[in-house]
Amino acid sequence: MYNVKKEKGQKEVEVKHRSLTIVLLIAIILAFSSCTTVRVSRLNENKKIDLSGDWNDTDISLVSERLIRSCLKGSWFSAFTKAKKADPVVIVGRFSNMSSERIDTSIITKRFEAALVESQKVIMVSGGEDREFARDERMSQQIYANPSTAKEIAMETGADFMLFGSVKTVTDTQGSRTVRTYYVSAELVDLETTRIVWLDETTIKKEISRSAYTW
Amino acid sequence: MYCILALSGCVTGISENVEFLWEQGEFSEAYRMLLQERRTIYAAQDELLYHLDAGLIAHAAKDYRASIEHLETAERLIEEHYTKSLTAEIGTFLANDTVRPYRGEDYEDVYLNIFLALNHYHLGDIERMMVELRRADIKLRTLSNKYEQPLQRAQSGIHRDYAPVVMRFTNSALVRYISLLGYRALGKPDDMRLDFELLQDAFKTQPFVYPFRVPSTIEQEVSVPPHSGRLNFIVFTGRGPEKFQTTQRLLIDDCHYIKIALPEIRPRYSMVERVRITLSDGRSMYLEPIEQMDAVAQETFRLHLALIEAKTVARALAKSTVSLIADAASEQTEGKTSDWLSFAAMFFQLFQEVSEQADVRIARYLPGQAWVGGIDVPYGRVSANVQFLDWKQNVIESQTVVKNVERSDKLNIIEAFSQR
Repeated sequence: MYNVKKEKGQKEVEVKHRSLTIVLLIAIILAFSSCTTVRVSRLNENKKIDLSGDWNDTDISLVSERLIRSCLKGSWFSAFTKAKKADPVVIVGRFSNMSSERIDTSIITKRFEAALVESQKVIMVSGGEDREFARDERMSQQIYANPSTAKEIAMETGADFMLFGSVKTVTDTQGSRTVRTYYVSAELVDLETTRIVWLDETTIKKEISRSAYTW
Repeated sequence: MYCILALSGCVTGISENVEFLWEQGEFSEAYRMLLQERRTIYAAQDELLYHLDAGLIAHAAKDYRASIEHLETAERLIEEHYTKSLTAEIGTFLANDTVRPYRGEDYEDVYLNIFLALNHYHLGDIERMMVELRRADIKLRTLSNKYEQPLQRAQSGIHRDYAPVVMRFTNSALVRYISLLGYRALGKPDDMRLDFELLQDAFKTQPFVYPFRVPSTIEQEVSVPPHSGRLNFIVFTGRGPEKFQTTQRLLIDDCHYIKIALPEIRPRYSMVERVRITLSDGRSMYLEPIEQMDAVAQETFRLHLALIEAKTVARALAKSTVSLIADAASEQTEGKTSDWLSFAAMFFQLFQEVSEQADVRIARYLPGQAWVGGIDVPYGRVSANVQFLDWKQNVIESQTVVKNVERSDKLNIIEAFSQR
């Protein structure tokens, strides 16, 4: 009887061990399955984050703000309105990327357009690809639209000024340290006389250090 | 035994299917096959190698957008791997360099920007093309900085009288040539002239990489008349270098030796001796070599090899020393302890033999040589037959390319590829 009790006790211990092992295994599986390899956190659009040291949204914001403020404060506007008694018509041209980084300069041009429209100081006309789309649509209307609603051709508002710009970089590297300077310039050109009526440049300088080692 | 085998590291395999399709010139199929067999060809730590190979094959297959994606990812990975993971580095000190992620060779880092530049050209974005060329230029200029201090530290520790190894390649004629064409198209004569002078300089100051003369066409590129069409050719032939392992075993005594396994870069033979262009109007010309990319690979690898050598010798010495110490200790003791120490000595010697392996990973689809030429043509549609000739002047491969030539202030490049 004692042996039977002992065997029963041993079996109970074995069952308990097995149950504990199974529970532990399930716990480990659950723990690992809850670890995702992708985690997404939504950030405030105004939060400044620099990860790689490359051109990023913070640089776009800084550069656009400074240049737009300078452009709108420029004397060209008052000089024009005084002479012509009308608001100037502005078209935004290209910002050339003459740097060593992959920068989408169309973001800067769009910010300029938005800021100039919002200022209500100038009349903005569409440029570049957008203008081509508009022209295609207008031509299409000549063929397909009701003549009473079709828009006339050769009725575009001619711009008085065109905005150009460029982004350039100077890079200095020694070992794991890099100093990168961005020169972003913009100018407003009188389309009739090609006179530059406004010109400004803003600089962003960064030091990027890369650690030699990490865990 | 399992631990020894596991720690000896994994080496990326080669796909026979991809190689076969590449050799046949079936680049689109080769790209498709590479994507399909990715998991079997590349180990987890070879993601960079995958993107380099995929990017180059996609470029040859004229899938420029896919090539851009792969090569930009490869560049990002090279930058990320600049920061060394200590855990991975510990692994390399225990076993060998193949246990850590592949970091790319310097010439791979530079040439991926050249192919990115050409990708952007083919997609009509000259501005982005110039960005990539500037990136390549910056990398070349900072190459010597990358190795200066680590080499000084490594060499002063091991070879006190070792002559310093310096970077001798810092200016690529191919980068200058494409950049010159780009500045011409952008209407920047000063920058074009600067690239022209730097190109000449590359040949003058780096004769070990440029043992041939400056292409005669270069002089013409800077004085193209404004209202004519200019057609430029950039042709790539052959295949980039391969890496092999060279092994030395230095005997210490009857039972102990040091195994040193180092990688060596060797150029691959190319059948192409000359490249001839014949236009639809009957005119023909021979292209001239502008860059031996395999020579550049060998030159830039020199400095990296110096670092690898220093580390490999130190690691091999350490492994042998442990074995020697264990053996000596076993002679000083008796019984089971002596047996265990003897076993440990044998284990470490065997571990050294199995684990000391050179990292022979390399991008497989870089070309070996670049050829250039230029010719004035009338505006409009031009057909050019690109012929690859062997040393007997036999045509071993022929390709016909059609191009709509626009005026000289636009860039008209015909690019061709022969893997032979």
